[in-house]
Amino acid sequence: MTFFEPRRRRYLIGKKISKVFGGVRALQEVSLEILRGEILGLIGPNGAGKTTLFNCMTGIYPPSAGQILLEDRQLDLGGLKPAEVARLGVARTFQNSRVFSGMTTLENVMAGCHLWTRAGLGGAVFAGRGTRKEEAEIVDYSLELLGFLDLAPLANTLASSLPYGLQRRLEIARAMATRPQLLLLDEPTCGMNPHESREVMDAIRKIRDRGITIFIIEHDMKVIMGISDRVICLDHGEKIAEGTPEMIQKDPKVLDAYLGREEDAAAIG
Amino acid sequence: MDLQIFSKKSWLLLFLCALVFPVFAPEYYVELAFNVGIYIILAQSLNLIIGFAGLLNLGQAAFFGVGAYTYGVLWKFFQIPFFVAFPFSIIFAALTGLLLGLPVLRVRHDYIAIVTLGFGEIIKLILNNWTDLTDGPNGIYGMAPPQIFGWAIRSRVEYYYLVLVLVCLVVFFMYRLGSSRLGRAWIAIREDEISASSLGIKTNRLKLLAFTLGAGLAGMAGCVLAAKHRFISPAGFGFYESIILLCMVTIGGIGNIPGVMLGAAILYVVPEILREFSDFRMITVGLAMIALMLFRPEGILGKEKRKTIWIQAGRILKDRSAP
Repeated sequence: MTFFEPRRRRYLIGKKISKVFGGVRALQEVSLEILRGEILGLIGPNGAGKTTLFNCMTGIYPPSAGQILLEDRQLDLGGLKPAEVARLGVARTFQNSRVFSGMTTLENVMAGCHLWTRAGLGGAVFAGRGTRKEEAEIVDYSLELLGFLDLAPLANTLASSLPYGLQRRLEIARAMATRPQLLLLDEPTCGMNPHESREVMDAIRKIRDRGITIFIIEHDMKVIMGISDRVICLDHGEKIAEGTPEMIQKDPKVLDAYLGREEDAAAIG
Repeated sequence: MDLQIFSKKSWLLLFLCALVFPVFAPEYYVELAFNVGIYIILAQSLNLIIGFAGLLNLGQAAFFGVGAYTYGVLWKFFQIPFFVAFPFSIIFAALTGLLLGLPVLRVRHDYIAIVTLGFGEIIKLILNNWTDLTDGPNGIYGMAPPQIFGWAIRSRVEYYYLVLVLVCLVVFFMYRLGSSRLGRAWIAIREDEISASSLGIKTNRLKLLAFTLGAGLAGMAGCVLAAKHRFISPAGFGFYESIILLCMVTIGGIGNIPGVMLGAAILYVVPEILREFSDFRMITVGLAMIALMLFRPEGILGKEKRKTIWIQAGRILKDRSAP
């Protein structure tokens, strides 16, 4: 019996992450904590630095300053290469669809299984029992993931011929194939109609229920408020608010950032 | 045309035709077929680098040359026989590929073409000017024919069968690679390097592997050619050969294994057939290539359908669903 809610363990801690591009300060001392098993939302107007934060966290480029620590390993993600970050259990999707267009849907996901499989050159050429077993496991797991994201009937379709919304979903499946602990989703519902976007949100909840922590960028306030446990708001590279969706919705700074300052609004009005 | 014409049965048929070919064909055509075989191996070696890993390599003939010269030099100084030199040719060419891979990792896209182009020229200059080792433009000659257990490979037909065996091995190797975990990772890198690396694919290591393997295969072809001609000179390993190889891969369809075989055969045989038209033949070939790129930019056999993996997966699915 628990008489108090156990404090959730932290999974990742960002300490004063900054990123400078030439003279532009894209991120300014952003600190954050991601708790195990939560859905953390990241919002902010265009150019607020949301994707930059993701890129710093996943090794696309190193942060100019600050630390990104995986709590249980005391490891700084800053400065690692994307592949190394992925191997530590952090997977991501991209803002624009980046599926492997020349591969089938199934193969896309199979390629995502690369990091926990082993077959090398010898396995490829001789295809011994071990390799064949591994391949079968990859196919199995990939098909399961495709089923999980309702893509199974399209397994044999070339990824480039999928409609945009499904490509985005395929990207989530592919990132899941790396068996991550933390999944970073960069505007997964961007360019989708409300119906598709609701489906994706349901899928994201199901992923969380599998025990995967999720950090999600979303432009659409309504969508993110419905799904997140907590929300962080960035504006001009700075963290301006953090809290539950209800708190964020009422936060004057957030409203300012999204709707313009009151005096501007007054001037227009 | 669909790749399905290349089912197991059609491969077997093709192999049987190739097997009995020298029985019916005159010597001249056997010789031609030998050369086609060499170019099939070379084109596949480039297909591994360009088609799988997506690295535009304009210096493939250099690896061909390194393989040939490894045998030549080993013979010249130590009289090392063919079958002993053969693995050395592969290994040495592969190491050269690894060496070229290192600077290539630092550049992207079109710049890779420039780096590899420069590399090809460097190798050719070395072959031409390091006269103590290579005898420069005079070349090395007089290598003994390959011998297996006292039986020497001398005739055109025997060489034809040697190269046929190697072509079969190479095609098998390419198919296995293409449908393996490594092949998927290469294609992922070719399609989108950033995505691939964020899936935990170590892109640098795999690109180096592609260069190493592709170079090794080309080196193997070089060794066989050196043995057959019993003469090598730097002239056969220049920019022109690299470009022809690139054309073979492009015409056949990048990444498409049977397509690239067909591309190699066409680009070798057609200029030979047109020989009597002397000066016009290269114009004709050139025009044909332009036309092909305009009307079938994905190659003669079209884009690779990537059926192999699906066939495996389909089989697994069928087993599952069977009651």
